[in-house]
Amino acid sequence: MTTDHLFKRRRQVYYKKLGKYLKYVLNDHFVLALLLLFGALGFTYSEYVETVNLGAVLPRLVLLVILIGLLTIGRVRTLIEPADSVFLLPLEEELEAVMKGNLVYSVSFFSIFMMLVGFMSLPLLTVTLAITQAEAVMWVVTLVCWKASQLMSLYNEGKQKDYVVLRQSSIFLASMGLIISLFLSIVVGFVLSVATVLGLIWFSFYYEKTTRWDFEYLIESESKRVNSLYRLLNLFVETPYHSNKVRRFKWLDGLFSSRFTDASPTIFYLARVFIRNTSFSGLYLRLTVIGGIVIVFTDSLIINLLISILFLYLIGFQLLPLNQMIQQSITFRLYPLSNKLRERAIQQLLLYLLLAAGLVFFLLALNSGVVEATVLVLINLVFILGFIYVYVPKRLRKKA
Amino acid sequence: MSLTVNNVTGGYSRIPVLKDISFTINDGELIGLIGLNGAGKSTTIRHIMGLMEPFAGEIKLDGKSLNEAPEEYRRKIGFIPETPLLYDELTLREHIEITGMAFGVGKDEAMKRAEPLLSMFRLDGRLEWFPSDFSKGMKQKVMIVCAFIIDPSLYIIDEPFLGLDPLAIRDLINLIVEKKTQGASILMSTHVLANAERICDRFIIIDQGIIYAHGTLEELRLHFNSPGASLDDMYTRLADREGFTQ
Repeated sequence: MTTDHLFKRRRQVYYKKLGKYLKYVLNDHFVLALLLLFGALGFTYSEYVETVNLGAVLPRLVLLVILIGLLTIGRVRTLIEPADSVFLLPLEEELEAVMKGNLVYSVSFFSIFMMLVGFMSLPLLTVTLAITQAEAVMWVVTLVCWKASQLMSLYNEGKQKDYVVLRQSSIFLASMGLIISLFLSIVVGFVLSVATVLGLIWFSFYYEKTTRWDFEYLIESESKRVNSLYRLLNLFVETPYHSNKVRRFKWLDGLFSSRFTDASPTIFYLARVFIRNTSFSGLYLRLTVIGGIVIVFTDSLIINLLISILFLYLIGFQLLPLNQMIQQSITFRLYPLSNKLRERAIQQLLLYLLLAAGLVFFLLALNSGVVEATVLVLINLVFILGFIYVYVPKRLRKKA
Repeated sequence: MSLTVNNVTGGYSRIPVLKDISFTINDGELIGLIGLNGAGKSTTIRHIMGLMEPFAGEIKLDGKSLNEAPEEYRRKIGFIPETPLLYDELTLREHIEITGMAFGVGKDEAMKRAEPLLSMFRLDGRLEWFPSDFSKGMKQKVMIVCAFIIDPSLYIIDEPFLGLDPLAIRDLINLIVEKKTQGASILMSTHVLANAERICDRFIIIDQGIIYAHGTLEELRLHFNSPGASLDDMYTRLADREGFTQ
């Protein structure tokens, strides 16, 4: 079996698995709710665009931040597995072609994504910059080019040479390029992005000849990629969970010395997992902050309610894998503890975390009035209690 | 009376790996579980630990099965698995604390009991480390410390010597012997026959899921008609003659 065949088979297995999960996703009534939400957001967006004046700066700044955020997410799909660092080590040269294929694939995939984003941003650019049709095309191509440049620098970081600088400078260059496009000249930004991509293509495909790969980096990067994908799918269907890299955060140790965290081994463990495993704490923080920002800037109670419940829902769901950590742990199965206590501990931890997020939303909603904030916090409370005491027990009893 | 395994048949998904296995381990007794790779040693241990359910037969600890008294049963066993099982998110100190909490020893008492063991295994300066910072042998030492601080009445020890440095092997053997003289029952599976021969009271030789022979070293010598032979000699000769395979 050649390396080519090996990866062909891996791709088949990978897409079969994704297909299986997607089937559940597309069946779920949640999709309908999400479509409605997107519809509502789309409507709000179009209403908003009509109020924007020519030359307005703030909307373009927001767009800039969103775009830079989108540039930093997404990795090259490599399907590299941990065992490859042993078994594929002698086949590094053959790996080259496979990896180039992966790069081309990921660039194409994200190009479509960036094109969609580009089209969605066109109404805003039309009102703020009064762009021509030719400029509209250039803008979309610019976005695709910056995304491609990001992926190519990530790809080169997988080589056994220190190319961190490449990635750092390419995100810097992309940010500068976007600023130029949005505030100075679409044409200049376009030329810059195309030049960068051409440079990187030359660099990746003609200049950089080393076939030595940094397997540890590739393995870690791929596992992160798959994890974030699974995490997303976990909104709809139980997906296997692998833990991310762990950070010590010694200064947060004070959080663990309460009577609550010492109440049971389950909470003792999960509280630490939540904080130190950045895939939990980082996400919790991000979702709370994003939700909070939207709530601060919106005056409409209905939108605030929708947003706060959506974000509480997302946070709750992203925390459910904590249960899988316990279920997958052999050591926990060997402890003299009853399942009931374990369930109660997980419920309690989720409750406190959601209440904390709810409190943040409440405080930020005060911005639009005390009455509104009170209505918001009451409805949020009903949602949280329903989620924790009705939904979570059902979900916990399902086998992982 | 401590652990009794009665006519246990079990394995993975209806294909029996263990066929009608029976043995007992008394208080203060150290039993060596000997067999080739894939003979059924770890499967036997998984059944005793309750990680697998036997198809037939029963396993009782002090007269009670796992289903009859799950928490009591689990509380009595200290387990050192073949591959160290540690929490990525917990430091060494927290591993000791959570073990103490789970087994009802208490956090502080657990740390107190762990201190001499930690210094014995030269881990005392590493209380703040995560498992990812430890080598294979160090992880194994953490498992040993966690099993010994709960002071169980039965120790299940699966391949304890793998990855340990010579000093640690010596210290572990001393610990095992000490617990045995204090009255604990110990089941130890190992390929290091020389060590087993030195400390085990009895041996269970398992092959292809059945108990091929059991008894003290003298009884085994008589049984196989090889006077004065070491366990290693007997075992390899036996394995060649009987064509033990897997």
